[in-house]
Amino acid sequence: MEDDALVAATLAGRQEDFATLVERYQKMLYTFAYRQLGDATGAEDIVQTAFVHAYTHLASFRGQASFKTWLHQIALNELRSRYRATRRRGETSLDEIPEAVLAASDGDVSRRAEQSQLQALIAHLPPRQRAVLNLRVFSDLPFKEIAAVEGISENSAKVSYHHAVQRLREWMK
Amino acid sequence: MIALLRRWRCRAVAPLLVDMAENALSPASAARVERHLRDCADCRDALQALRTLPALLREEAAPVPRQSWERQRQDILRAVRNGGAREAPRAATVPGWQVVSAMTAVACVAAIAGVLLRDPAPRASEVALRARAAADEPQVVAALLELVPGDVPAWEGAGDVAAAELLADVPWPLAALDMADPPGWQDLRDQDVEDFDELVGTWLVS
Repeated sequence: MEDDALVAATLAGRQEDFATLVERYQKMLYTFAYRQLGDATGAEDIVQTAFVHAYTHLASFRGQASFKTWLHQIALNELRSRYRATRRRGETSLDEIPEAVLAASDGDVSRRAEQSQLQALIAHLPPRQRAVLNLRVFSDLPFKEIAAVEGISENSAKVSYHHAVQRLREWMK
Repeated sequence: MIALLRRWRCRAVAPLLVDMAENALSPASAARVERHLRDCADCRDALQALRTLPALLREEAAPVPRQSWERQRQDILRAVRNGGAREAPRAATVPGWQVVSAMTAVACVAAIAGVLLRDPAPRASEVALRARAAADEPQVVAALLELVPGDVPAWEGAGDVAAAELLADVPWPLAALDMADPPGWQDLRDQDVEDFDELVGTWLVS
């Protein structure tokens, strides 16, 4: 059943159809939250909060974007609230990245090591670049939808993605 | 010697490189980008990174929750039931006073934004750049300024966004790709480039 039909059925009182939506997007949302936070407990909390929020505000879902996009938007808002709460600046210069993260490229340059290093470096990207990269790579959202989540133009979303990849490339050198 | 126009072309090409890396570019645009890539090693490297790094990231095993997916799903649904019992989904109703309050708030924000966005005073970097333009290479800087659109769109929350990202919304991209280098181009100094970048960034976030 399509997402829109599941949403309509949930609003009509069929809570089991919301369970289908949870099953459909649970892993994707968890992966996104985990990549954003780098923390399993926090990611689980974000996912749960996002689904509860989506459920209680389902009537306000207008269907202008897909349910998947809307759900990511809720999760991202929750993530931003936490950024603000912890006063995390999110901007990182090369000097501020721990040596251990950068050092991974000095010796063992196996593919596995590169992946781990990349993952660690993502946490040091500015919040928007990190979000756009994760939404594209791990949630597979098209740039048009990413733009909707971020409230920016599609072109800006692509440029943010470009900057994120190039910054990672610089750090990996 | 840094070529400022080349940097602008690179900025223009950035979103197109993203599409090219994902094989989502039209043949006409691809041909245009290819022309730029022939002369720009930086963008060739950028394209290579856009093709390899995301693929490398996707290969990494997805994280798993501390508990099983099924257990996590049960927790989510329990939380939904508990949270939803007090606040089940329902058709949204908004009291009239809230509508009036919201409209008032929007009007206030619009008024404040109008004041903030109106003809910002030139910053120190702009003054410095114009002074140098008059004294040194007026024709070069004038050519650059022509590329800056007059109606820079206003961005909500622009202060939180890096100027480099704001630049993405400026419609100079493709025109810059086809421009010939203006006369005196090679004489631009590095500092001019930095000043001009700063100037454009200042305009956009003002």
